[in-house]
Amino acid sequence: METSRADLSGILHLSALGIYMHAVTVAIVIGFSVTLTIIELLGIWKKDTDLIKLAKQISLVIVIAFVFGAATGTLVEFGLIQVWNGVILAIGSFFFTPLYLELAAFTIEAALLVALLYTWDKFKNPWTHWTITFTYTLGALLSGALITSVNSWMQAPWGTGEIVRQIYPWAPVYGPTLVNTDFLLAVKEALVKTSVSLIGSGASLVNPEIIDTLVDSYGELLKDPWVSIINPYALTSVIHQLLATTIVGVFWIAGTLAYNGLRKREKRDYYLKLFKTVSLIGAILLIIQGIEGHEQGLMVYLYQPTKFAMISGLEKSGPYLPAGLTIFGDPNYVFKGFDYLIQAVENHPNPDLKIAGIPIKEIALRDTLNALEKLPIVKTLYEFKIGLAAIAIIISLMIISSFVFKRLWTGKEKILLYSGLAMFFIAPVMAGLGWAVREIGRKPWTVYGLLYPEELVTPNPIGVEVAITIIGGIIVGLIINLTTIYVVLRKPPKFLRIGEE
Amino acid sequence: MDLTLPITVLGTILLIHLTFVNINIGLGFYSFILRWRSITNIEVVKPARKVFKFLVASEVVSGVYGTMITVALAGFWPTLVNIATIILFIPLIISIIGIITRLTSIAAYWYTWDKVQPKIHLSIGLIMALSGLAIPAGFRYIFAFIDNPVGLASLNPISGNIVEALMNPIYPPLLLHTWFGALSIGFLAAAAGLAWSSRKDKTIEKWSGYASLLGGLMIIPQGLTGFWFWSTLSFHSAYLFYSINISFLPTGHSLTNVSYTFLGMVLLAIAILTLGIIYYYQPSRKWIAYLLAPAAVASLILGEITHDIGRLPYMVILGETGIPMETFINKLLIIEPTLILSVIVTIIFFTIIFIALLYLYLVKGILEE
Repeated sequence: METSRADLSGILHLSALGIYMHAVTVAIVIGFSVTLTIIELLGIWKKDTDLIKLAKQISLVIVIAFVFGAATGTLVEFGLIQVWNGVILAIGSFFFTPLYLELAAFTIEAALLVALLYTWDKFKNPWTHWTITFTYTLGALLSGALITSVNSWMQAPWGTGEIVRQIYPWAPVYGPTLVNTDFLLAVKEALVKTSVSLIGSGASLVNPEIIDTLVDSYGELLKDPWVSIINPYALTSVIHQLLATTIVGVFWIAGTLAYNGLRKREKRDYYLKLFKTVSLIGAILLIIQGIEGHEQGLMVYLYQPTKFAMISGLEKSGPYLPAGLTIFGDPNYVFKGFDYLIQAVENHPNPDLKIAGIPIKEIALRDTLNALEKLPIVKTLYEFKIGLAAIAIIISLMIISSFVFKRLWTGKEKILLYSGLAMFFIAPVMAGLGWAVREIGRKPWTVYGLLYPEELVTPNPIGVEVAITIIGGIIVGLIINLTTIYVVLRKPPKFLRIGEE
Repeated sequence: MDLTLPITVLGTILLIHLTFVNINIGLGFYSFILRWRSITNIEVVKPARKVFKFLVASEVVSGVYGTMITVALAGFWPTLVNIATIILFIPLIISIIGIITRLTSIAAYWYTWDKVQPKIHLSIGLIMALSGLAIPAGFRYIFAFIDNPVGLASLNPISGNIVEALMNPIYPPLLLHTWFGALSIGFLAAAAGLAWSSRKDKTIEKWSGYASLLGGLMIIPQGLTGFWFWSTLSFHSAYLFYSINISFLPTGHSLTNVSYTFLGMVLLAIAILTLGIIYYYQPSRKWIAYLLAPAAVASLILGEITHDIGRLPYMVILGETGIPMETFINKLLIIEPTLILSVIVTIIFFTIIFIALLYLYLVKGILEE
């Protein structure tokens, strides 16, 4: 029972596909919730029935996406746990608190979603309903924030102090040492041993006997269960990811309204009004994201040296204008490239240290070179993303200007609608590329500087039939989700019709 | 870590999930049966649609709590989940296929209603109903495994035979018992819902009674397979068998006594069988239908308590003894009880709101339309 390198690559692609497909649902649930909250607020405030009607339609779409999200989420979750068994060790330690809190956030989300759907037009004071909507949205955002903090710990393993630096001399210090160093190093030792033995996957080692032995010898693995939440990388990532997800959702609504405005000439004014309101939300969020992107970049610079070198294309050390200007105010600031990282490894301060008999210098050099291999793909993806972001910012400024310079845009509304339609596609591609940079840039590790995918994968072989089942299921689920949304919006079934005027 | 709180968290989520998932499976079959009857009797179209919408609503709850179970299990019993996902790899894939097929066919059944030939729609409905059975067909292997860990060769490193794990002798009776139980609960839930609807539309009353008859009669095969399960336990999971019978039979030693919950389940089952038949002949006595649904859920809860608490203090039974729960409990960190408590209180509070609103939505939005 061993997973080959080719299998591993396939499994990684399978997982990426699953996460991307699930992300569509997440974008709808989170992005639409924020839009719903703002649109309902504006509708009540301005007493605008068009906005209230739009809010009701959005709430219907959220319900459908949530139902499918809960079902396909189970699928993705089981798929992940079955395929990446080794992650269970992290679920029981570093991820315990965010995932456990997620149970509460998920229940709040589910309960308040039914509440907001059921209580449309049921309260005399419409602000009561809005309060439910607002609280539901907080639940959805909290849910997204907690999951992002889990991913962020894999990007920057906060609380591991100097452990990563002991292996990779170019690595930073990940906060105070809140993890049991002996325990973690013993796990790493065992995992490296399995990777060169016949057992294959390290997942087989996450068993009661080994855990008991380690706990008896060293004590608990983790001293602070809140470690992945207090991670500074997580704090920035949460804002960045939630903004990205929300922007996608907002522009999907705006794009749909723009499409209807272009197609139905007789109702263009109606759709244009709604489009402008929704797209203004997206435009403002996009500009905030541009500013926040700097913070995210700073975190990558501080905590992921290989990813920073990949993004900036620094095979050799040198200036990288955007980062030089924004971080140090100096366009000629020289950043460390892969040449520096490799040199740092070659001058390893602890060349005699070994893990499972393998010199850490050898491990560090191999991994740094593996990271360098990803530079072309990550740099290309990042540049493509930045190019799209520039277009998106221009479109956002156009949208904002249509509120400031109303006369200028009179008679040119179709340009705005076409731009909105373009954003329907640009926003998700941008977010998707951003996620790809985040994930591929982390390689060759699953947990940056600590664990590799092959140490966490299931010892069972993943056959084509399993892959097809999971991929097929996820794709079919997504198609059903989108078809249901389409059918429901075209002709709302009686039992889903809420507060019709 | 103290075991009480993790057991409470898992137990709460598991019981909510199992209740709705069982209702859901039964509703799938009753919706199919009514749709079949509606081909020759137009009067049945209305109840068939109502039951199907009821199914969609209950799918939401079971989906939400199904997702939560995985997190609770992996968080509190990480090594057990790891063992299960490695050794029970095939059964879990069966469940995944079941979930995919179930979702797809529910959606297809909904879209194609009145849009394709009735026989084709009926075929889709049959797939929808049968796919519901595939989900426990996979997951029940986990319960059979912890009753009798067939297929596990070594704990360190975890290894075993994933094909041998499929041959667990406890699995067939457990699965059949589960299936018949799910059909019974779902039919009785349909009986209660349709009884409520029939206050305004008398034509539905008959189909409420019919559901109650089927739900009641399902107790017979459920009882027979239950007996088979019970006797299989005596051979392959002796400790659990002792826990179930300790008050009534001169069996071996057990630290846990679940014989009264077992007895309660059996007595409730007899009551359900009797009342189900009575209501079929006297469908105007709606209180019987309203009583039957919660009785069926109570019976399910008692059954699950018997099965799962009966293993304590062990998590995995090995004949007359077992592997204690402490072996698998998360020892990787010290979890603050306040954190566990505050989350469980939040879950319970919002679950009450969730289910109450869903019920209102069902009653006002579906059953009274």
